Amino acid sequence: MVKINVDGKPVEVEEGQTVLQAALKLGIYCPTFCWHEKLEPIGACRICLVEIEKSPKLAVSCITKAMEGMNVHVSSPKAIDGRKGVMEMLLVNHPLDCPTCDKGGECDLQDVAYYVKNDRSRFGEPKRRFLTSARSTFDEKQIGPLMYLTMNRCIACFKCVRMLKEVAGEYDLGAFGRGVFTEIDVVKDQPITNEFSGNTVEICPVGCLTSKPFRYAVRTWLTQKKSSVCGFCSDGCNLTLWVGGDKIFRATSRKNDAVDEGWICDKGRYGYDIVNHSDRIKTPLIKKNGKLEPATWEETFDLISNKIKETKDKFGPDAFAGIGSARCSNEDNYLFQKFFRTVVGTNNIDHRVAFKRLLPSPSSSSIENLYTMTNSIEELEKTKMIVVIGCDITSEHPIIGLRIKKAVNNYATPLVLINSKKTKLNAWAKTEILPKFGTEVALINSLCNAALNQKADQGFKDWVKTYSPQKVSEITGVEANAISKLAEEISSAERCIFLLGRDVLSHPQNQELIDAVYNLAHLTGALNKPHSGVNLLWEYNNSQGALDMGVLPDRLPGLTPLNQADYLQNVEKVWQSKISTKPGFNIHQILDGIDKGEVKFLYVMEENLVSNYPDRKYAQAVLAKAAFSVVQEIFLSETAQRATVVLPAASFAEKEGTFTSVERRVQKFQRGVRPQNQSKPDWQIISMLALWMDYENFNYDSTEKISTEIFSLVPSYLGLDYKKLGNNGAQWNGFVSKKEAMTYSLKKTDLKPIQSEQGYPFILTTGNLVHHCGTLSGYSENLNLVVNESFCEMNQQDAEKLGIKTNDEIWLESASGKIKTKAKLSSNLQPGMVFVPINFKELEVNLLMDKDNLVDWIKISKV
Amino acid sequence: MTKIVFKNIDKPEQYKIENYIKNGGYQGLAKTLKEYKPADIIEMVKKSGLRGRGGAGFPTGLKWGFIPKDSKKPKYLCVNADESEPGTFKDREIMEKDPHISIEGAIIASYAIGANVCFYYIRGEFVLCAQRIQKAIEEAYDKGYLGKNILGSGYNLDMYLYRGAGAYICGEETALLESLEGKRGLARVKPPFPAVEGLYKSPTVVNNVETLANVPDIVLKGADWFLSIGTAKSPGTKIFSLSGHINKPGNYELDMGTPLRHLIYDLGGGIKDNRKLKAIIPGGPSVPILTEEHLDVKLDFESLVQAGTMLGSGGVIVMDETTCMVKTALILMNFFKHESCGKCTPCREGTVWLYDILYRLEHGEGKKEDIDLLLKVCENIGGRTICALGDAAIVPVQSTIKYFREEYIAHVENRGCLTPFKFQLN
Ligand SMILES: Cc1cc2nc3c(=O)[nH]c(=O)nc-3n(C[C@H](O)[C@H](O)[C@H](O)COP(=O)(O)O)c2cc1C
Ligand code: SF4
Ligand code: SF4
Ligand code: FES
Repeated sequence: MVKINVDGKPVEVEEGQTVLQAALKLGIYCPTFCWHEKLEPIGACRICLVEIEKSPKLAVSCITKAMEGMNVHVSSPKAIDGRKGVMEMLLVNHPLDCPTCDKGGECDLQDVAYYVKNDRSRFGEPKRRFLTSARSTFDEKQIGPLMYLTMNRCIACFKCVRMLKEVAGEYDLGAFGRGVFTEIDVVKDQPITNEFSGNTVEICPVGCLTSKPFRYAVRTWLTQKKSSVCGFCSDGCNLTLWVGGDKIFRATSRKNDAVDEGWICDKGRYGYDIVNHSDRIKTPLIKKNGKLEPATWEETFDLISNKIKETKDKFGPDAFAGIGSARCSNEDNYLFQKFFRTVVGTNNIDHRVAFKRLLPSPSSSSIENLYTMTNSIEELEKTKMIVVIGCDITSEHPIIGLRIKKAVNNYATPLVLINSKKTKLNAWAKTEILPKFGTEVALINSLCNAALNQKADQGFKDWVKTYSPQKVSEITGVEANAISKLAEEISSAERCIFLLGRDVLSHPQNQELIDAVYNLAHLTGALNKPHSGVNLLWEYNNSQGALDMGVLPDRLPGLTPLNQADYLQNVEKVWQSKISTKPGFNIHQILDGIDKGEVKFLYVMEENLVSNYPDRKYAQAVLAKAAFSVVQEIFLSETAQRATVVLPAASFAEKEGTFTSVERRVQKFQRGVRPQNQSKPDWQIISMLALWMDYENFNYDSTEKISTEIFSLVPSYLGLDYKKLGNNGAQWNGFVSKKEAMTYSLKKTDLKPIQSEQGYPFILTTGNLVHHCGTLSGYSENLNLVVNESFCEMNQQDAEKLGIKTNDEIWLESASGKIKTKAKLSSNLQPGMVFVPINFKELEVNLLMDKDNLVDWIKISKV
Repeated sequence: MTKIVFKNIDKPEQYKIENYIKNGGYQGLAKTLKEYKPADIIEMVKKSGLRGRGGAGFPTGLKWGFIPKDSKKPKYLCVNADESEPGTFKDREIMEKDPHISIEGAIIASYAIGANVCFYYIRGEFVLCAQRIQKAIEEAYDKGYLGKNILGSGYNLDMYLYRGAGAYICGEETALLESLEGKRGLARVKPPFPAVEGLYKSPTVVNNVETLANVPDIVLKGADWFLSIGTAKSPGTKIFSLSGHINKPGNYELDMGTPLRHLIYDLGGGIKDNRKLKAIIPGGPSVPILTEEHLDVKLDFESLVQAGTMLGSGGVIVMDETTCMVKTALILMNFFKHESCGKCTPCREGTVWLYDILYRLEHGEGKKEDIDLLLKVCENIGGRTICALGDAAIVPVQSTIKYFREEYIAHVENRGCLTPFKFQLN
């Protein structure tokens, strides 16, 4: 620690910290432009000048290290004079077009000018102009689908370029030219589209970089700021929603160092416009003569409650099924399952619609069955090795991707990528392993084989020996010595974090693959060591919460088994109801139940079954057969269109509540705007319906009341306090302390080779595009400006053989169906594989899928 | 006058290695590798009192001594051959006519600091220099002065030529390093100094061509010999690039401490057309001007500082009575504003502001207050910039006003300049 004085006040800072940080620690304001907490300081703008006793020149506080005994003056006349001088210089060429500048009211240049209080400039020359016309405000250039550049306002702090380079590793914005004609720009004909570009708009201190959706939409001082959490992927970035009336004008980051460090991806930043979309469902709808007609809430509640009573009387509670949502809040999901378990009396509930092969339900008592992230995002900085398996991190988890880049850049953490295709993150990888699709289990077994030690008994040893590197090399296409080398690296890593993503979760051998990774982690010690472990990355904003809330056929809230007597008792007491201990139908059994006529009543809360279920024809057919179906939704989705009753639901921005992020972080979000049209929050709809049926136990007048119930009932959430969740949220972590003592028994996880299908030579894989998330973001007009079209990515050589070029129209055909799209040639995919994004409802990719085939084989032909 | 750097400069085809060797070349290197440990060389250069010839005059041995001995990182030597200051053209002559002397010096320096890689950074426009240096490097490899196990000593050194892309700022040592790393040539904030964190964040020494060209003889003849030349605090010689209104412009290697008058009148043959001397820039445009009254000042670091200016890079620009001082300041400011890298605010904005005011003054649109405004703007730049370019840029303005304020006033009163030459804007 170093002790210094700032403006006469003593302060202690860590060695290596700067004078500026010392001042900030004391709460002493010192203006800055080019400094940014998360970027390397460059000391360029010079506005942070301070006086340091015994030093002849003014010092640049953002880069001057604090030294024991320094006497620093931020507020001395000399320091003030220095900053006045710099400010005058900065304004020399600035257009001072504040009245027509979008940044007005939140511009650092304005704010510092105000602070410096110099109302006169001695500059009387013509100002520099980048474009020929003499106007300034509208001398603007669109540099990307969502970004504008008004170069005349730039103060050359380089934060935009530095942020992209240092944090995201992106280079689509750069500085050109020299001196006063230094220009920020994109390379000709290469618009900026990287997924973190919006952060540059946010950190630009002036109105030089602006976003297309926000510019000239509103003056910032006419908006209110609401603390929110992103409703797309599961990383859980904290957002600020800027609202006015019923409209959301923009979303910006709300720095949470544990999660996002103040950076958000562009889908979180620009996808908010789904909320105000004109296609939102406006009123409740009831199907009459095959057509959905507007109805009142009263009519629909009457109809639904009567139908529930009638069906229950006639067919019993197990004739009901409910599908919850990984998008809805904990409160929504909690009430949803409570409704089914108490009002209806069945465990026929699930939310895992997109998975053909369901993993066993998680348990919260042992790490291996947790099926969650067992580490935190922050721990990625503390570990010594990161192994990503089956995940396009950048697209699926952009912010985890940033942390990985940080670990690689700042701590030289070796990154291993084991993916059957190349992803954007591969550029950061020390080791990239590209096994053939479907052979991953063999690869991991072989790593276990090479990493064998006394932790394995003879039986396991004998079994795993059959996965010799040579043999597995033939199976996987990965070189034998690459396997041995990797095993050696993982074994010798002091700490290691394994991250398993979408392609593992939806893998035909998902469970074996996860178990195999657990074997490997156990053998190499990663299971027990700090900042090490196996992590499953669920996809959506509240995937984890939907699990935690017990929207599962065999788990009560807190992932508690139905038959755990003490807990059951407790729950029954709070819910004032008996609860069935008979496991219910899972998602597939629910659909089969409807198909067979056993399930008469289906209730879907914000889940687009038709487009997400891995067999579209079946989902459509089943929905047509359902005797009665209620769909609670934001948009009139393909699923809602087929419902008997449609209830307009409020999106994440129109309600408050909590989400549980991928790292088990329970985070509170505020309501941004009132529910649009006649929509209501999901929890409220359920609560009102239950009250309509006289279930007084559902009398919740606020989300807080539900959260409080959750936090006093759900074991892993015990002790959380809704009021104290504050800005950073809180993780549920009970198991972490037990980690070191945890025992694990190795499992034999044999490879089951995938069977090819005659006449269908390509394996279909799907996933999210980096600018989209599920089908919801497809409603975002902002995001659609970046990409709005689906395609089929395929291997270059495969395409050449078929005479297909990029942008050619092609047919994709499986035994189940046929769809048309455009081809996109790529060298990221291995031969025999294609990739189709799931984000655009126009391309019904699950028409090609068959729920009973774990691998979807297709053929391709030119249109 | 002693000749160290230029001792063979006019020998025929001295740039060829066989001639360089024939004239005693590479003996300093041979002696170094045979007789001295790296630390001995540093000690010897420290003792010799050799100071950097690139402009700042920093003691060379001291700089080498800053390289941490225990660092596990690679160490680098960078030869600064970016010579771009108007009126300075000494390195160019060395590189064109006697390239090996700088290469030999660079090898010895690399050995002294423990570098196994040396980059020779040449100003982009110096085409012949680049050809000569490239050829010379190849010849040195062929003869075993570069590469593995140099002269059987076990010492390895690779040398690479790197051509700049045309920016004066890339002569500033940290901008040079950025440029070498493939980035835009912007100056870095110091500390950390290159000796601690230079090229690729590794310990690095940046030395001027002329500085290094002194090294072989210091090794061969010893520090005491070097100390016996020049003055006590500025030992050795210095090459002065003489230009302007002078009869015999060119490079002159002089013992430090030689009077300015001797250079201008005895060697340079006096002012062209016998006109009257008006002003002299003694060390490149970054240093304050002198006037006729200073003709007896001695050309060495200390004497020039005493006279209110600096030795700088040794570019002596002579101006006769027909020269307009406002125009001089304007031309120099045009250079600085064009070459400012744009990283720090005072230099980026201030140079253009100064230029604009000077332009108005020169073109008859000046006001009386402009003269003080010029000085105020200078004050607002000086000492507040990242690198010395900003400090340098204000020098022509301040010093011309200091000695020729009445000429500025005349520009205001006469609504413009009285000399016929019109300065071309670019
Ligand atoms: C704007 C600017 C330009 C410079 N240009 C050169 C140059 O062209 N050649 C050079 O040797 N030094 C130049 N320098 C000085 C270098 O920064 C550095 O001090 C020098 O290369 C050190 O070598 P020396 O110690 O051998 O003199 C320049 C400095 C500044 C501030
Ligand atoms: S565009 Fe904005 S962030 Fe980028 S350099 Fe200019 S002022 Fe700074
Ligand atoms: S003083 Fe001028 S040249 Fe030096 S860093 Fe600042 S802007 Fe660049
Ligand atoms: S904030 Fe310190 S120099 Fe820019």
